[in-house]
Amino acid sequence: MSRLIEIALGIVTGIGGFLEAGSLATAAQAGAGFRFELIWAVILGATCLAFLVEMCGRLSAISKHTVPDALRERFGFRFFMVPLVVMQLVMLMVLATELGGVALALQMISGVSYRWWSVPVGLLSWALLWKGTFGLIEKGVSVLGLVTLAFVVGALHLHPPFGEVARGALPRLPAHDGAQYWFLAVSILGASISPYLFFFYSAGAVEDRWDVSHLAINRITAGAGMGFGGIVAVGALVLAGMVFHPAGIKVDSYQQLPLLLTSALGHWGFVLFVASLGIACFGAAQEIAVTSAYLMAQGFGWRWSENLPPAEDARFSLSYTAMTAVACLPVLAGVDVLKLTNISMVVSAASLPVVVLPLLVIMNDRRYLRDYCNGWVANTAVTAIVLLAGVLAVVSFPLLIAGGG
Amino acid sequence: MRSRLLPAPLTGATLLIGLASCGRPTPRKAADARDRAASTAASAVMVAAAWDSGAAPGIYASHATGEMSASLWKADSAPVWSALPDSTAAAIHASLRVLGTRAAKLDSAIDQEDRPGATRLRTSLEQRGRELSAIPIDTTP
Repeated sequence: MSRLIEIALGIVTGIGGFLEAGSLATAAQAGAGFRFELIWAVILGATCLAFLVEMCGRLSAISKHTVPDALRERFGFRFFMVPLVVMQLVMLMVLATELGGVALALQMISGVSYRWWSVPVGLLSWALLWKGTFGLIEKGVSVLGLVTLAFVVGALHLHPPFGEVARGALPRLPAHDGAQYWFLAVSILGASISPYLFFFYSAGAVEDRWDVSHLAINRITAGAGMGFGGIVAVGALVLAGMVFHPAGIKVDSYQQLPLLLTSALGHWGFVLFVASLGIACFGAAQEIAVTSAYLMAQGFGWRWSENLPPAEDARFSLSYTAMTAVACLPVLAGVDVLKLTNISMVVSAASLPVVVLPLLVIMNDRRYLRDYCNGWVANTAVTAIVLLAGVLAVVSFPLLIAGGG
Repeated sequence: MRSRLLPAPLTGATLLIGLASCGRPTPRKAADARDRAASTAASAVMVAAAWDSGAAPGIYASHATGEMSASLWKADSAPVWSALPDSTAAAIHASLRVLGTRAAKLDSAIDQEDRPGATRLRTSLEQRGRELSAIPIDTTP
């Protein structure tokens, strides 16, 4: 029975934790610009993420290593510095985006500019990390994140043409604005396959003391959690395709996004949108800040656990404190949060090879995985992801200039 | 040392960003900017409609339309229109100024809970937004 509860919680965490500023904004931009044509990118991103999350969970359950720990041990400290620096920069940008998302949600209900909310939001996020435990961050915020299911409810409420939605699941060449189409596809993939998600998952498996007996739970929660989570992002995309696309509205600002749910659910739609944006971004901000600290602590061999009092892992606690403080600055300076979101998602996509390629090597190393190395399905999936990530890295910046600039 | 730390795609990307920053306004970019301005006007109309129906609170609607008005004024002063023939650019500038003013008045109407005034401004904004979209821009190279 406890295993069933664990599976259910894992799936709930996957659903509640999937949507954040990046996936919401990119899904809305895709729906507004191309109606349902980019649903395939959301599905591909969620599938890739499910494979990667499963692998990181398996690595931790079998070897008791987190991903950064294994990277440093297997490839040496000098090599590890590359993913460490790249990942910290990416996470800093994405964390600023998420804090900006919470601040914007508060602006929508208070009228006070999001800039002034950045410090209170950062402080609240930091205080929860300081006082809270891993379970609180992982499950507490993610359970609240179930409010994002409002996007699925809203999409169904508008009775979308299911045939057309289903056709969107198949990749196709764009009928117009090719550069913008591919830029959005890259952004969606970058938002879905965020390395912080599988770094966090891997650390969580160690925090929760997973072993071989958790492999089935790992597989189910990775597959079902990310799968259902992807449906939430598809819901946001379908809503934008139904509400914005016919009106010729392109998404240029977060201020437009509440219209997705008000059009479908009226006043409750506004309430649910603000709650979804605030909670989803707050949850993601917590996960990113703590993952940044995990990466530092696991890489440098410091003592780490979100379940320990800060006095017992001071350098770990200092890491997420510094990260949160620095990430507040761009929001406080009034940076355009949507532009920051788009740039962060493309940079995140570009950083994937740095993490995924070495992970592929580790996942086939019997010293770590023993008899649980990748099978051909997982190897093929990871190879495809690596190729995808390589292509993304090469094309994403030019596309940013041609299509998203 | 630098080339060791910077992966090749990032180096390439940096070069591309540098090259792109030298880019001049083109009719294609102007057409995109026109569509974005029309989209902003349509968004302001939709926000006001949501406020009028009680779906969106005044605080949000006023802030959003204020931001959209500022965005329309900003579009008016963008250098991108220099790529267009003078007559087309003048028509777009005139249209953007009207849209910016109407959106600012819509913001005030929402602030003052003036629903009949907001409805009139919505209709006007919607019509003017359509007129902006209809201004032809030749994007063939």
